[in-house]
Amino acid sequence: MERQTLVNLMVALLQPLLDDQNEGQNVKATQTLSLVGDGAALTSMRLVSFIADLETTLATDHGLSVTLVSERALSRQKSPFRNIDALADFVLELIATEKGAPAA
Amino acid sequence: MPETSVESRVNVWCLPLLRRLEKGATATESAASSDSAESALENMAATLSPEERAIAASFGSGERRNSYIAAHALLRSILARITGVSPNELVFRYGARGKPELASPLHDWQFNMSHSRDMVLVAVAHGRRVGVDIEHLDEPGDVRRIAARFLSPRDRDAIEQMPAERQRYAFLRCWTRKEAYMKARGDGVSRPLDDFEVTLAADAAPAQFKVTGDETERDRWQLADVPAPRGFLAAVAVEGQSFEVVQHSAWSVDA
Repeated sequence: MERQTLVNLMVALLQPLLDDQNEGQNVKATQTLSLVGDGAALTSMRLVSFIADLETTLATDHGLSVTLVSERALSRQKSPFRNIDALADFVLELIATEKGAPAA
Repeated sequence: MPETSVESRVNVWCLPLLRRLEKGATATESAASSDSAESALENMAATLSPEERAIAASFGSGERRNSYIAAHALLRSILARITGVSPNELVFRYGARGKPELASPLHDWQFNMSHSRDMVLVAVAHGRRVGVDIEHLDEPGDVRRIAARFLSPRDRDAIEQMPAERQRYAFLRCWTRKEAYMKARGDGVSRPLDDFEVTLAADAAPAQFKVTGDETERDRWQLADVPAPRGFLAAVAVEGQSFEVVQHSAWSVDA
């Protein structure tokens, strides 16, 4: 899966959640928007909804089975959920591991 | 002597944010009660760090910015009272997953904050980690889907065995307990929610009863529900034993 395709997918999934949470405030889903920590753009409930949406879409539309919330995520020094850029890298790594090939 | 210097006390505040703005209440010692909401907000913003002000500015000019400023000014006001350091002189450092802590030499004072809609929940303790979470019962989200994906089979079963009209409440009760624990540890959402289980039965005290892979972890933490206004659920996770949770329902410069 191309990185930009994945980023576009995540932006498309994230934007409705941002619109719902920030009604009328026009918060844009960008690759560097903070998703966790102080100033996170989403509530934790919406963040896990986003993660569930992403896992489901990757599985149903792309045939890719990945588990994002995992010991692997927990073991990272920095949260892979901190923004879309970091999450895209993490997803690509999981996909590569699943396929037994190095990440692009 | 700080009012919360007793190490066995965990002080918890559950307070409305916007009412503070409407009344012109501020987190600074100098604000007058007749200040307009906007000038109260400006006074609050003056107590924040440049980094916090930058985050607030990134939110534009709406309610999200106002809530962020009011919540962080309130937090600084509470920590200032406890530590004896001015609000704008408090220095935070951030863990790898974003959990804020007071920088040395105040790092033994541990705190955590959560807010939902108009309510903010703050816990402060000395020498032990704390985490809090508050959620509104109408927090959007498909709770059945989230439970199916993220909770342990035992958690799910406990929720599904409840009457349908109680399941959302039970899920959010479970969620607040789990998130408080994850926030206390500084794990954030990276930690699998099915990695540990909490009590959910109405007649059972809030507690963890299983943590995968670490038998000592269960005994290291205590959970407690925090009384919250109608429509909200809240919980606190505290490291260690032998402590008392003291809840405060008001905060002012004279508190």
